[in-house]
Amino acid sequence: MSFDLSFVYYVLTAFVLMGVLPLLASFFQFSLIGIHANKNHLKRCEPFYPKVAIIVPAWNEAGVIGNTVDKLMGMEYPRSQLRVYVVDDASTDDTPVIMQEKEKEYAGNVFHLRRENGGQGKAHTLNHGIEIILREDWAEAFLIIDADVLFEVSALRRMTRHLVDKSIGSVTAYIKEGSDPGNLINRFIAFEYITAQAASRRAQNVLGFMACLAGGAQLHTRENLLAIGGQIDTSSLAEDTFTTFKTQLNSRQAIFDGNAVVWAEEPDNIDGVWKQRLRWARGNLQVTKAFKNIWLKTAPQHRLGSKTFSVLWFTIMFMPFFMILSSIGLVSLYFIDFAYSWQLFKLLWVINVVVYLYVTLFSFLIDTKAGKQAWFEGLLFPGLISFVIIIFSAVPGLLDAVFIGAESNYLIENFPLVKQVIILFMYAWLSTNMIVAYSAYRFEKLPVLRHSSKCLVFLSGFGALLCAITFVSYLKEWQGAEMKWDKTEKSGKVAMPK
Amino acid sequence: MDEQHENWFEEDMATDVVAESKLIVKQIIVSVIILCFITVRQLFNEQITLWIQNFIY
Repeated sequence: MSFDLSFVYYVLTAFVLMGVLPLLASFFQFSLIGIHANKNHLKRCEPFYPKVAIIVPAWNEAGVIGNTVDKLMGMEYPRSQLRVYVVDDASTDDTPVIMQEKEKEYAGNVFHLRRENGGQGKAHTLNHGIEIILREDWAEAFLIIDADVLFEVSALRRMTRHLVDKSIGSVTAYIKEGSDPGNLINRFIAFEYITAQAASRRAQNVLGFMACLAGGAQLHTRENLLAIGGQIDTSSLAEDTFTTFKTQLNSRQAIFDGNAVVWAEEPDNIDGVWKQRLRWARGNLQVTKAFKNIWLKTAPQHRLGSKTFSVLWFTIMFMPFFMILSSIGLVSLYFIDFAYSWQLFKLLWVINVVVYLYVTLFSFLIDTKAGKQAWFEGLLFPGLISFVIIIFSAVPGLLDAVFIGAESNYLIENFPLVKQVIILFMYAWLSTNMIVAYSAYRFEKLPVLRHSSKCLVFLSGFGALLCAITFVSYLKEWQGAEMKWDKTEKSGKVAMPK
Repeated sequence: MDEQHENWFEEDMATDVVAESKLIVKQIIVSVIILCFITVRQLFNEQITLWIQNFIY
């Protein structure tokens, strides 16, 4: 390996190694999960069944709302302590009719709150309900959910048991993808939720901060809701993250209970994923800006400004740029010093192999049922091409044997053209996979190419799709694009496993 | 609070404490697998490389 310590080498090497940062962040979070067995909030739980007002924002939810209400009322929770408020955001379908029936069926427990002028988005709808419910003293806690989310019978009481500790302001549950039948996209999401929720949020419990309460299952104490202003933020596209931050900035903890399980219907096509995640990604950028004074500043009352949280947060926010810089570094070094670039490339991918194995195997074990259901999508989460590079990198000498072979003098100009092209392709893949993922999104809209779109996601990986969405979110925010609430279409195919 | 509510709590806690404890075991299993992989890869690096080269050429 050539160790020319010139400035260009330093810069390009740093660029390449930026591709490792998201891997290390992921590895770090997964390594904390075992600690969660001892460092969790279960020890401070007691039987506690406060009066809970469940707020369900609903706009044209006729396909799901009846079942959701039935499941909520079927929960094992004292009936006298439970009320369901469906805030109907001027639905034009049968939602009002269904709700009137449910009001009669569960008289005194289920309420239909109708907004005649709706269409302002979920946060405004929630605020309409919260305002009405807060007028009475009845509710001691507020559970904010989505209209399609199905709660397991024990989910709510597993959440409320934490509220006996007055330092807890809010609790979120483990949302699982429950589409039945599910497709390829659903299973990618099912696997992603193991990593992003069951694993990552446990790590955040250990570290003492929470990045985001799941919008579809967040329980707040009345005191907490009042302390954050008695309403949900309407200035951003990530009202749930805003609420999470405000909770912690007000010296209350936000925690995750991975054993309180709820089921949701997630998008089953690339367009649906794109709309949902673009909203989330833009919302995260808005949150980053809105709370610009907290980053890297420690405070006694919360850990949001800790270096750990800041690093984890910005590693995700900057991930597309890390990938692009990593590719730029490798491709530039290819032309300057191929031998050195090849060593860096192998190092990058060996780290990738270790983290991939650790995260994937552990994820399968953390949630064995979801892992069994989505094992194929879990294995191919990084995409088929990255998977092949991972396999090649896992076996010592295999990359060298295939690509370097007899050309051990590392003179790239002596390599066959095909090899040169493949090597450059692999070097650039960390960022070009986002272009392939974006193509999948565009192709899905074209009838002729629609069928190829899922193949492209297989090639690029679901992670690359999410990375591409994050990149586009910067462009949208930079352009000052309209804050449009693209509602995720629900068909009612979510089901809880028997 | 009636007895049933107490029982719910006890059942949940018994299940969840065990479930969380199992995560340590799972983490150890995965860590051992990864360490074995790294060890084998390092210890037999040259042998595997030679074998691969002989296989390909």
